[in-house]
Amino acid sequence: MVLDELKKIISEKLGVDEADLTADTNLTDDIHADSLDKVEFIMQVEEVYGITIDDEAAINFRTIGDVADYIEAHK
Amino acid sequence: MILFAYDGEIAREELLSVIDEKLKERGEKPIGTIRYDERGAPVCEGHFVSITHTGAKIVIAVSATPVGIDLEKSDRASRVSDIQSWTAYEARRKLTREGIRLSDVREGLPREEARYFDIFPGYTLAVAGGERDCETVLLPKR
Repeated sequence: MVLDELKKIISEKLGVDEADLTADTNLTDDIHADSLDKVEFIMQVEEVYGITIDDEAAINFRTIGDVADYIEAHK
Repeated sequence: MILFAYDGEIAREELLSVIDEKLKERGEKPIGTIRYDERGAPVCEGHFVSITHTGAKIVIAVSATPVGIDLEKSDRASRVSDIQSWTAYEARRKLTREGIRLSDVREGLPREEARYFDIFPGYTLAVAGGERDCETVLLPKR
């Protein structure tokens, strides 16, 4: 499941407990990802799923669920 | 331009209140309420502001001209770019309020001009735009 894979990526990247992550986890407010964290995360997601995420979509990613929804719609 | 720096956990509203006190002491207009535009950039009446934080360290630039700033840990390893180039790029994108472009990251970041300030040892602070005269104010812990 995409959401579970994203939680694993974020957990490994930011050192956050995977069990604390949900679809509603806000990347900025809840796990304090900065811009560089988010860009690195998106680059990794693109590699894992073989997709290219457009800028407008990336700007509007607020939660892990937002990213999962985008991947589900574009993979 | 003034770069207000604070190291520690503090509510954003409290920090802005401290900065307003400092501005009033200098006879300058306080920042007052900050709102955020559609891209999340801070906007206030009477000043241009830019905000950056990493961990518990935060810097707020207050300027009479448009400004963008970015702070990162200097030894941070990134697959995207070296930290000097990244902070200069993000500071410039904040200055122009254009936001980060993934295509720039994929193709290699454009070389951007920025000034660098050593406010926190071990951290890189890049400043794009803003007034040439610049003062840094390290705010005491509360």
